Amino acid sequence: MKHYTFTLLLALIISQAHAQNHTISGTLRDATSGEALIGATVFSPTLNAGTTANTYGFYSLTGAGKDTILLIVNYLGFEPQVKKVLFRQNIKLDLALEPSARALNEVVISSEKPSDENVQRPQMGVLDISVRLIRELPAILGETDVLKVIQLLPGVQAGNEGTTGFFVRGGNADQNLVQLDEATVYNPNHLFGLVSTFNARALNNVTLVKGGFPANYGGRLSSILDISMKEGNDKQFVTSGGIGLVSSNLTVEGPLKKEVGSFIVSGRRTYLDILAKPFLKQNAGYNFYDLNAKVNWRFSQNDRVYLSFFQGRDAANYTDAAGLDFGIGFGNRTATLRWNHIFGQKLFLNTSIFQNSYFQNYFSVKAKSYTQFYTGIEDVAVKVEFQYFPNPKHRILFGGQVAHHDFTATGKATSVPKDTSIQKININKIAPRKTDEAAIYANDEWLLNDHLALQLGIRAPAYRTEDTTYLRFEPRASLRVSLPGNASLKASYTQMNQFLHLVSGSTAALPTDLWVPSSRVTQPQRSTQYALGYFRNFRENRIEASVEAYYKTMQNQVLFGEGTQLLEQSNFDDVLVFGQGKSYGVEFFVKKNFGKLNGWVSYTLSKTTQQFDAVNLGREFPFKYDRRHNLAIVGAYHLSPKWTLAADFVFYSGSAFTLPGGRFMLATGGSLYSGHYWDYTEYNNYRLKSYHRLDVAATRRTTMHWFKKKVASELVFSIYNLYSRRNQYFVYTDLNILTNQPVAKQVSLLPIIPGFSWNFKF
Amino acid sequence: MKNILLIISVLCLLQSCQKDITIDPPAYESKPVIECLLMPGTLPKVYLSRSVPFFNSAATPSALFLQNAEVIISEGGTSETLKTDSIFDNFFCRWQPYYGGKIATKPNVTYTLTVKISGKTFTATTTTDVQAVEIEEVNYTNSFRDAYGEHQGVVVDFTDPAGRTDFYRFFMTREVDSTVQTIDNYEYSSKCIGAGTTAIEDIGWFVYSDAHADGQISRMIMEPSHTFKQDDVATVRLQTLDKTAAAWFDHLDKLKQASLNPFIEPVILKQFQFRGALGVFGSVNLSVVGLEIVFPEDNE
Repeated sequence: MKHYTFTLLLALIISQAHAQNHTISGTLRDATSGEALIGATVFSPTLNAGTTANTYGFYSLTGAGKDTILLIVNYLGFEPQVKKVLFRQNIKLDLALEPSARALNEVVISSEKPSDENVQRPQMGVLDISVRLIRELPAILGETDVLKVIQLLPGVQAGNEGTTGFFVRGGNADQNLVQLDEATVYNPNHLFGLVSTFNARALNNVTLVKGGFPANYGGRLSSILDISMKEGNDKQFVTSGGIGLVSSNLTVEGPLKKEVGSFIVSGRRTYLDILAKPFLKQNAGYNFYDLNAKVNWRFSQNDRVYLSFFQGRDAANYTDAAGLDFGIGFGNRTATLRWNHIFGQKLFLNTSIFQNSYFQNYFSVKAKSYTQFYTGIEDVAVKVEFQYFPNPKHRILFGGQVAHHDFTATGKATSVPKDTSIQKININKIAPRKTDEAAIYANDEWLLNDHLALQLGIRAPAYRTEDTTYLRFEPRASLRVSLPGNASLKASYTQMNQFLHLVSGSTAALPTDLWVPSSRVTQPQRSTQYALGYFRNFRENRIEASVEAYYKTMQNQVLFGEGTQLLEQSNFDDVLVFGQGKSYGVEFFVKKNFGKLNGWVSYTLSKTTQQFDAVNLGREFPFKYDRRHNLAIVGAYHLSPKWTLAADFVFYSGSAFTLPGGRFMLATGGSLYSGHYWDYTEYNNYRLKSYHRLDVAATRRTTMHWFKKKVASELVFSIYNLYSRRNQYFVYTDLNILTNQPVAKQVSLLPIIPGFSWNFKF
Repeated sequence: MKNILLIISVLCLLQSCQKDITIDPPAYESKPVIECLLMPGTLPKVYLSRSVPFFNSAATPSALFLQNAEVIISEGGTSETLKTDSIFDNFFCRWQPYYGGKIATKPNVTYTLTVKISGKTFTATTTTDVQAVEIEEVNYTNSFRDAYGEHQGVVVDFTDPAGRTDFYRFFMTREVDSTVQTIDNYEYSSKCIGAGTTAIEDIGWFVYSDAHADGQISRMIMEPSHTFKQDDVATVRLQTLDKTAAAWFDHLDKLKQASLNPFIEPVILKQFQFRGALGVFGSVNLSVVGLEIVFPEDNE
């Protein structure tokens, strides 16, 4: 009886609550292009409640019914909108924000009061990157670059110049999930990491999550780089492009049917190979291209379909008179089909089907030795995700994902036969390793009261391969406590699992990284991360500041074993060894989003170590990218309506590498070695010199008229490595048997490099 | 102006910069290196040197030799203090110092090596029970593959004795003239041979184990470490090693491959028998009968 009474009472409370509450929902879009304003904030002072737009611009806000409510909509770079809305019933309200005046080539100090979302949301370790700022910052050879900006954020370490990837909170490059419209991009780089594979003109939003992960994110230990492509202008046809020193790009977008459907096609190709040819004595070639395309169509007020495609390819070859013959090709392709459906006003459904493929093929012939490495991945996945906004106190996410992966990884090392007919690896004859991955998850962002907010999540990933199955549970929790003075204290706890491993050689910076799936022997990587942060905004949220401390442990880390290399006949499990990693650090971040001067200062003090029973005699050693100090100062100054000046300065401690400590001679050793042996005493026992670099850029904006049409023109002048510091790319040692003298050689890659590009839009 | 900028940029990008540098190496503690392989019927030789920091200029056996050590080999109630001696290596044009004994090594005896140097004492034992294994046939191949790729090589066929664990190294001797070079990247030629010839030993760089071929007819193929010409003659034997010596040389082989090949992971040097010192005190044996091979072609 007691049980029935309780149920009845609960039902009554719920029905009462429903009777009193109304919901306002809709989409937030750019008034000029129709692009979704991802992360735009909607706040009602009347309801004392707010929400943010999701990846598709959808928002939903529920509150007690009133005659009218006031809504304030904010988004960085757009004029805020204040609206009075009748709130006697559920309302659908789509809003379009006008870009702020500066975006229209006029410098103003906006009077808008920015959002304090960074302080109020319970989640920590999230960094939203303005695509506009990405395009204003200096870029090598004038090529704007998302990843170069990511590398300037706190907690993020750049690889060496020329190496791929970025490293977040002590994690390896493979622990970053880089997603373009939800599809994984396994190698997000062109030109050996100098230019990212993402064409900034085709992007809408970039978010980096490095801690306090909501449960919808999984599959990697260290970070999620979530990149959304533009949808395409659904109001008018727009052509934009850029001509740079090494590449040019062109983007065309427009409505398929006005405000119903749109498309965008964006392409970029380098002509470095053509420009460099006259200056090269050697036979060398290099080219890359990338192509983004997307269409979307709104079938009804509640249904929208998106189809996006991306392909990037790199190919390089080099042959010199000394007999070095080198070639590398790699590429990514992704395709995503997504369907958004809105049930009523509180439930948003997104269903995605995506396919992606990646390959890297490297070969070299030197001193009659032939070496080849190949790694490839093919994925097909389906993801279904619901977002439920029952009331202003809860924002619930739940869903599931299923993915199938085919992995191919192999290597070959042999000498060149006398008839020089090299038998290259026949990729088609290598049977791929097939694996399946699935996950279900639920996440609630729960506003307990004005001072406390909680984010609770659970994710249950499962993984199956030929010889084993793994089932894991990943609890996630974040807490925010509001403090006086527009400040908050946040804490988070995260567990993550990763079923893929990128195994990197620790010696020279050679492109021999191989993707390897988990197996019975190669167990999934697992991490536990604790983080604590203090967030505070100043000057009415125009300056954001934070200090975050983290401690992260990583299990089942993978390396090639001592003295091993991957050969064609190798089983991954025979050449890999397993260990653990540990990283901790403090990250300081001050960011200014508004006014003439935009930018940030970030400083990270961190330490990362690894321990493998079968490596370094079982002793702990520094992670390759363990850099104690990492400082980045980034700024863009809007000098006048026409001119913007920008600069970035980076300083970081040198990365670790293995140097022989000593050497000795033997009288009884193998004759081939002439008696000389090297004594490697410790893994990663030496450091490259500290790295620092200053880049500057100046942008001049004008408006021209071509054939009676207004054309926005942008000239960008940039200088990479202004004081031409010869930073160490890598150091190697040698012992000349003829002179018996040991030598160390430093290789530096990039001196001062001026850049120039011209961008246009009409 | 635009063209100038363009040219500068492309040239800068394509110009990588390599230079010799002086680096402040990690702290390194020099260690004694003790080598002694006892073979029944021969006089004991102990090669005693020191490891040095990588950038130290000392790089010859004489410069690295540890003098003033007390080196004792004992068995049962007999012990002998070895004396310093040296032999001139005519091929490498250098003296090879060592500590030598006058008492021939006996078979099937457990010996103890004691080395006292700079107040430290290092000891190890070995038993000279390693049996010689005779080669049945020696041939030449113009193509085989090993960890270093495809080579010309000498094929050694033998029958592994059943019921015991054996380890082998290739062992070849021949007379060479001044035209002969090492086949490593440096292609060293001797300046000391002059118009005559000198004997060289060619010891295989890898250790062959019978772990999966006990008692079976076995084949070992090895690339000569020095250049050869058509009709050159060499004598080939098999060196058999005890388990300790085999493990030491196998470890060194992996270490060396890792230091030569950037695709192979570095190997941290282990200490085997001596705490605080590198090296080996082991026993070996050698085929009694050496088989001749006549090279049918020049090496390439």
